[in-house]
Amino acid sequence: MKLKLSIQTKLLICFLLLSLSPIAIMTLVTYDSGQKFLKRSIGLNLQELAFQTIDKIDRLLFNAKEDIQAWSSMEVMQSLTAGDPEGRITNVLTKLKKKYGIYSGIFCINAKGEIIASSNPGTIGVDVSGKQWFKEAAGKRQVLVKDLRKSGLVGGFALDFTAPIFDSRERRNVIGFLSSRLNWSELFEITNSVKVSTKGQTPSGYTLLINKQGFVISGPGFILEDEGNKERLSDKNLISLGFQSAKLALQGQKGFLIEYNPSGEKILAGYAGSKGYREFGGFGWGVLILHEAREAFSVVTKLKNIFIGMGVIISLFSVLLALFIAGRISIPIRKLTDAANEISMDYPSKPLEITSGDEIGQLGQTFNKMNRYLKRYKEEQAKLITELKNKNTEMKQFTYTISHDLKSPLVTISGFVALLEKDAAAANFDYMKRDVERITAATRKMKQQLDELLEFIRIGRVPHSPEEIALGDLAREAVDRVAGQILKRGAQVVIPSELPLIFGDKSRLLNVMQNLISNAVKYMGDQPQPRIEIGAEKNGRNIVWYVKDNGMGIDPQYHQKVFSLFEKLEPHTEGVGMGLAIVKRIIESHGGRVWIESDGQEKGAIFYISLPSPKTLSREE
Amino acid sequence: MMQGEPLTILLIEDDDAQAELVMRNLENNRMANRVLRFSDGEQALDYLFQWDAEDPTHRPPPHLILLDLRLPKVDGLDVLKEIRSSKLLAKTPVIVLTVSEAAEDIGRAYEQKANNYLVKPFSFEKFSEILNEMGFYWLAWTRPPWPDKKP
Repeated sequence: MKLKLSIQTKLLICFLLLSLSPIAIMTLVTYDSGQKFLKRSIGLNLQELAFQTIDKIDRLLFNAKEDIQAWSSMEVMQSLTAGDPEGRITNVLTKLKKKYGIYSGIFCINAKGEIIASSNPGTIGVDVSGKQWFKEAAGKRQVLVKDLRKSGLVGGFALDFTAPIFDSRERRNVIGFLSSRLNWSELFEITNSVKVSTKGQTPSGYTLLINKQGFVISGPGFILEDEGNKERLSDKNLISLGFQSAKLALQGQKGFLIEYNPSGEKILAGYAGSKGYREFGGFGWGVLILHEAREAFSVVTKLKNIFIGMGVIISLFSVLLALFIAGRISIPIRKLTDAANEISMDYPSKPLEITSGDEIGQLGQTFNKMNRYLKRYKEEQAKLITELKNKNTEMKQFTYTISHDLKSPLVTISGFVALLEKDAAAANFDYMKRDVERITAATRKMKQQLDELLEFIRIGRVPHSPEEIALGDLAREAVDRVAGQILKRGAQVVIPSELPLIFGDKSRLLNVMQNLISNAVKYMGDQPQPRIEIGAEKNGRNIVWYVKDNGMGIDPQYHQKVFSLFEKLEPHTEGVGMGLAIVKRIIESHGGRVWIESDGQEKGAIFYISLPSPKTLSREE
Repeated sequence: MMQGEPLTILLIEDDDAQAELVMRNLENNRMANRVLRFSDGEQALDYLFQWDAEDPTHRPPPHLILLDLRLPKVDGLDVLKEIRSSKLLAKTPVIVLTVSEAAEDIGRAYEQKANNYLVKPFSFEKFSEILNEMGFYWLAWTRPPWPDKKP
């Protein structure tokens, strides 16, 4: 089956394909590169945050190490050997702890491992010689830093910084140790203050500090929930949980990657491993910043939404544009089609209103022109058909009239011939004489009818040799020709001196004039003062002339009939009833018109004749 | 109606010669009825409808109308139409006289309810035949034209 689509639909589809495909491709490409760029910058941001965090921690530890070293060389520490009898060291340590606020305790220990002075009351006199850290520190001349562990002295997680105290003069003999405990909460402070998202730390985005083994040693509270009174801060080991980022961080690298946490969520991880700071080598810790990918890339999602929104808006715009353009093309075509249909079904069609200047506009104009031509042609055709019908009716009437009227005298003749036979047989001479008279009259009548009929047919042709004729001359000549008739009736004929020129076949127009004057005399009736007037008036471009009488007039119902062939209103008047038929035929062959104004009732009649001016005539030629 | 009583026949014919022909024929055949002749349709209608309007009892309708088709002023067919549309004249027998033998003309005459149709020239034999057909045995004669036939 063939798919039938309107032009509008086709254009719509075509336009949508054309406009949307590049937009879609552009959108996809832009979105793809934009998302990559965004992901990269987000990842780099996380990586940088991780790096800054581990650096901060390293600096903290470095500073704590520097602090303990500086403090160990303070002059007051020399009273250690005397057992700090005045409590000066304790005083200083208490002040330092208070001042720095990051230490949970600072202890001064003599060479034997006994705490001589302390920032924490109650710890003086405690023997630490058996402790692992002390044993390690005793053999060293540098600061000993111990990884995070639970400290028995301060009762919480802390880092140990232990510096040897040398005798002031030679700096060769170790006289004791100064040991500080950096509070774990300082690490927590640092990791917890990292702005992973605008909200800081959330269950979907947080910072973890892991130790060399991969155990979490600092993180937000919800991670360290299972914190207990154990040697280790957390049971969570990211290495054993399979975090690639943790592995890379512990190798001392920094970077970012996307991976899945144990619950299967996609996360973006920025990581950085500790490199230590200056002389402080660090503990090989690592910082991980884990952010749920969905949330981390929410900007990308937003971007995606913006692109989809833009796509939708562009599509809508394209559809509207396509509809508009399709409408500009298909609506005029639809109109054209409808109009063509109307015309094909012979309904009258109005001119189309297509005004655009393009090919469709031109088509519309041409169509309108064609329609106008068609209309004119149809009108002309209808006119011609009417004319032809009229001619046909006229012809029929003509034939009818001829067959009837020409036959009539013959009927009379044959009738009287039959009577003549009978009368002859009866020797009735009076009747015989009468019969012969009737036969002769009928023969004469027939001859006259035939003559006039021939004349009638002859004058029907186009008038030849048209010329300018003075109407006055024409009237006078006609009057001369029927002078006998006029004199006999005693009629007065008025011909004004000022009469216009008319244009036509002189002999035929003379015939017309003669007929009209003769008719006027013939139908004078009982008028005691018969008067005939000839005149003319100008009616626009045409000259109308008339023959007016004060005779019996013609009843309006016979105004048409009198112009018919062999038509006589008064059977007893002379003539065969051809005069006015001939007048009409001559005037019509000149392109003119003849009509009567009369009320009948002995009130006279006016015969008007309107002839086109020579200009009109010559233009028609 | 008694036989032999003179009756009125209306002859409407414009041609004097032909009217005379009809009269002479009737006369020759000893038909002794009163024949009224009118030379155009208007006159005939004036006559017919004048008595109709004024005093129908004084002038009874004619017993037979002989109507020529081609008449001045009012045409024969129009006269027939007028006659047939009048209550009083609707049943008056009308014989159309015409020169034409064309079926078209005959058809038109019968359409207007002409009783019969007589083609000119007027032949008395044909006329008698038609009268006989139509049952005009009651026409008045100075002597019966058909002595053998039933009165």
